[in-house]
Amino acid sequence: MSLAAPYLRDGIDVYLRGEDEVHFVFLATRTRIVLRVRPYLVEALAWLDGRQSSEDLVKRMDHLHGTQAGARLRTFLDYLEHKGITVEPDWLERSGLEGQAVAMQQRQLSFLLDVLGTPERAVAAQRRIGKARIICFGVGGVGSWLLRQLLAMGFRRFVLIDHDTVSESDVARHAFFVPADAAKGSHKVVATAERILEQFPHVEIATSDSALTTMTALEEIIPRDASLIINAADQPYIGYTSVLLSRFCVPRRLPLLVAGGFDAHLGSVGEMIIPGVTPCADCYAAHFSDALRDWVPMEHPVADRRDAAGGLCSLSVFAAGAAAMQVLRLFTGEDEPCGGRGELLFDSYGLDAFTVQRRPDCPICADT
Amino acid sequence: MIAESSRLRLRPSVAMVPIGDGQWQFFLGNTRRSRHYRLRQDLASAVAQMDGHATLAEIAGRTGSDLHGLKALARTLHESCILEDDGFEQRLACSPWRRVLNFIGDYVPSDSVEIAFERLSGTEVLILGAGAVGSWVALQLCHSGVERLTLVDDDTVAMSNLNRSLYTLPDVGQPKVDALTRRLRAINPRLTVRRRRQRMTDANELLGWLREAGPAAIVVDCADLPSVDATSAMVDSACRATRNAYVIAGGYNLHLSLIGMTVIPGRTACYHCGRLTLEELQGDELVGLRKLARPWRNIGNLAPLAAITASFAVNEVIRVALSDSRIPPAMVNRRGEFNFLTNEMHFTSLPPRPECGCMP
Repeated sequence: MSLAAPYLRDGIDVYLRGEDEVHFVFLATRTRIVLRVRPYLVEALAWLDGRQSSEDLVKRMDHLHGTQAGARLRTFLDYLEHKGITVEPDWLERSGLEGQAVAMQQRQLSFLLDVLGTPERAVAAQRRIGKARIICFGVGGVGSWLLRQLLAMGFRRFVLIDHDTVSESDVARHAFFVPADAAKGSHKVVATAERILEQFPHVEIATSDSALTTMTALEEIIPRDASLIINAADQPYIGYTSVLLSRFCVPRRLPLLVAGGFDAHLGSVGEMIIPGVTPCADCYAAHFSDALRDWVPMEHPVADRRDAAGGLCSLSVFAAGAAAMQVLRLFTGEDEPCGGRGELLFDSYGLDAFTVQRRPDCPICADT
Repeated sequence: MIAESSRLRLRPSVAMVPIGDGQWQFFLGNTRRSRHYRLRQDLASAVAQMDGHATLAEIAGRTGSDLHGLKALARTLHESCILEDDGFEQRLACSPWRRVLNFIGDYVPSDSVEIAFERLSGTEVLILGAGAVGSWVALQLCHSGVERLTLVDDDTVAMSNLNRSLYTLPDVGQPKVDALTRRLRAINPRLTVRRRRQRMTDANELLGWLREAGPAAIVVDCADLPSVDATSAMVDSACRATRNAYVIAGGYNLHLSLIGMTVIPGRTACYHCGRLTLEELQGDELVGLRKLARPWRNIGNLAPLAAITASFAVNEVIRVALSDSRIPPAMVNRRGEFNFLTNEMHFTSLPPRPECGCMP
């Protein structure tokens, strides 16, 4: 028995039937282990609160039900450990993460333990999160809510890029702005960074008020140690800004997350672009230009439609939440991302999802 | 009132697309809805010229359309949220809630949008529990224009709350209702917040608060102590007596965000109707099983799960508060789960149960 004091993992439901049947249900995967064991071993499950050493548990069993029962408990404890059903109760304290990170992230670390299966993998994922450098283009409706969630998850190094200034109607759906930012007409990145530092004093933020165009010198904005590029920039059009960023990211093998939820697509579940693995933004653009070939709107009588967008904060938060989970998956490395996008339909809350394939003849990513 | 002097405008978020055979698709970009009409070519050209400057009479003259026919069409398209009235653009331009108003404008004709929004901003929302989901619900409602909130929670902010709620380091040790109120007032100084630094322990307490708040108040249950089932039963009992609508905010379960029911007492399935159906659906695999009691347990969770669960509760409050049949609540008689790993939405139908006795 290698565990000093076995603790029944929080993310496993334990059900009992009769005196001798035990069901372990792993919440993360919904897998189930069903065992038939002696009733005294069932009784011992309630002892696995991490406060008693394995040796003490065996002695207690010896005392209650005889030495054979003690020996069987020993085998049972080994089995539970082997299956990842028990862990050390103080695995968080032993993790080597700094005290404040453990205090703040204990519930997320429990989540990571459940999803990744071992304390080592959970801690390694949290450590990657703490070191990662996130480059975020666009700090508007969706970008700000995504940043807010990433901050809560323990990300702490950011570069924020947005050319725009805060207007009064931005306050109504932004994670950080207050009315004074609009009154001053502050740059969005400046106001965002100021508010973040008030709430998260230990965070590292660099800002740039460059506009994202073909003239933008991306190599000067995006540092060499960037871990992930996020595109939440919807002007002039998110398909256009995604192509610009994707053409920069693909040859450098940088992951790019298109965070959906720009003005006209508020409930979007955007796509993670992993060069060489998933379709790139040019593949997506080609896919949609094919798919929408016959869908040609008339010229709109209103020329300037920039203020036409409508949306609810809750739709931006939904899109940001779905994007944040994609970011988490990138840093846990638990599954291989594939191509596709989704759209929350507000009327039914149905999720209109479709897959997109890599283009074998894509001029940008075919050779990666 | 649509007259020949009206200067209507094709809503800027609407795309007008010919789909053949004289049929036109009007695609409402904000909400991804479509409406289809068969239009004579002269009338289609007329609609495509509605820029908010030309009058109907001028456009009819240009396209050679019959003015009566064009007026009738304009009325229909205005009712369908495809055209907007003369002053809508100017009225929106000076509102900080421009985006919310534009969104409502996809469901409610432009001349009724502000009245609908006033119903939303004037509705009192009682949020039971100011933890992770509760804090996200309060903040999103505040960002949607709701200006009257009651927050009920007896807890103080702890370090371990910061990974998923809207509280931050400077809030640690303070009462949650105080920390949250400060944050909300910074966003909208007009907001009125009733703070109740206590835990709801029985239905009578809520009954008293509801009588104070009035029949239009909406309850959002984000409280999980002693359990979500226990607080939902209390909420149901009080709301059944006062006929106030309630939204069960749901929760999260690893990779799933649970989306709870919306209940209009006496008109839709209530919490107990839902419970009866869910017990039946649990099926054989859990029959006879009892859960091992583990009082020390801490289930893992994180910010996006709480935020997404809350976002649906907020959608539902907005729908109920607007009280317009064109944008009804979407979570009546069902509950849902959003799966992050597969990006799938799954709903379970929870119809009213006659044996529950909640229907008149």
